[in-house]
Amino acid sequence: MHLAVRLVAAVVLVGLLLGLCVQYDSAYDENSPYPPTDELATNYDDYVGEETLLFGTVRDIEVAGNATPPNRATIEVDSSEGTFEMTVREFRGDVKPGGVVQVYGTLQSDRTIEATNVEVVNPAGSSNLYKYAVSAIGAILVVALFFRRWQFNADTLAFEVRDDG
Amino acid sequence: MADLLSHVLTAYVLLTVASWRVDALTPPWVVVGMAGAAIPDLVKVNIVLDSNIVEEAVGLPFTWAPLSTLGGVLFVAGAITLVFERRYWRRAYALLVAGGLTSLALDGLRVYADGSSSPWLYPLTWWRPPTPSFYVTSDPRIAVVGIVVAAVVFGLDRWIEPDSL
Repeated sequence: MHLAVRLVAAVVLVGLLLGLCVQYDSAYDENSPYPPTDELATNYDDYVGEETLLFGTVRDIEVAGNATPPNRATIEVDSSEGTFEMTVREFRGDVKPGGVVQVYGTLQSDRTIEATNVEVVNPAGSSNLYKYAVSAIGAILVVALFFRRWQFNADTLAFEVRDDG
Repeated sequence: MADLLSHVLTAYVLLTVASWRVDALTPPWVVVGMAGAAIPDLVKVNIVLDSNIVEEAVGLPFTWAPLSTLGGVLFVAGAITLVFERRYWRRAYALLVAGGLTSLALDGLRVYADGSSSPWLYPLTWWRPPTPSFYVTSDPRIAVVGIVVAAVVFGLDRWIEPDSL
């Protein structure tokens, strides 16, 4: 196929993809069952009493009263309006500061969420490093196997199956 | 998401087992399916180019999230297909999409504190399919299971079809 045709097709496909990236973000809030995190950052009080799902980085875990294990946490939630802090009541989860949790619960006054369920996504800040390292191995594996089975044909400017592949 | 290595190994296992029955599924095509399985991981481009920065630069809402959805897989697979020679397009696209879909399905089994996975069938629907919350990616057992199962299939494949990956 003519190179120009392929380039035009590639530009069209990438354009459509970027269109999805814009459409998804524009339409996300109205299609989400929960209050937008940007809104929680700026107009928190309007959403007290609503249920939501928050993703946050654990900053601190503490004990309220004499509960064991610790049952209260402070998490940092990212939004495009900036990061804000939330206090999590009824917190349950084996996680270190720097770890990432999901908190499903009900919003209370003073930026507090009463958790009905907490899930630990990353038990510590180092968990991301682990994921990236393992993912890098996966990427190298695919690239190596690909070039073992495919070769670039300089005449057609495209990949073809290796003769011995 | 499950890490990239687990995505790629899952596609390897499924396609290799399928290749025992489907003659057209030769090693070069299994590799293309594995590459397709890595497509949803492109969502991690966010680490290099934060969507908030794109948003400020272009003045439109923007997120990379669609890369890890059905729509993203269909468009990215289309763009990748163009690097192959014309005679391979149909099969390359089919395998890239198949690989991408196995990764999306695998990610659909991840833990969510509210019991619903992300809306990965976007843009078909914003529906969040229920998740059995089987795993979190930071759990090293995920990659270990992937490596062990892939090793077993690799061994069986050598035995069944000596000319393989």
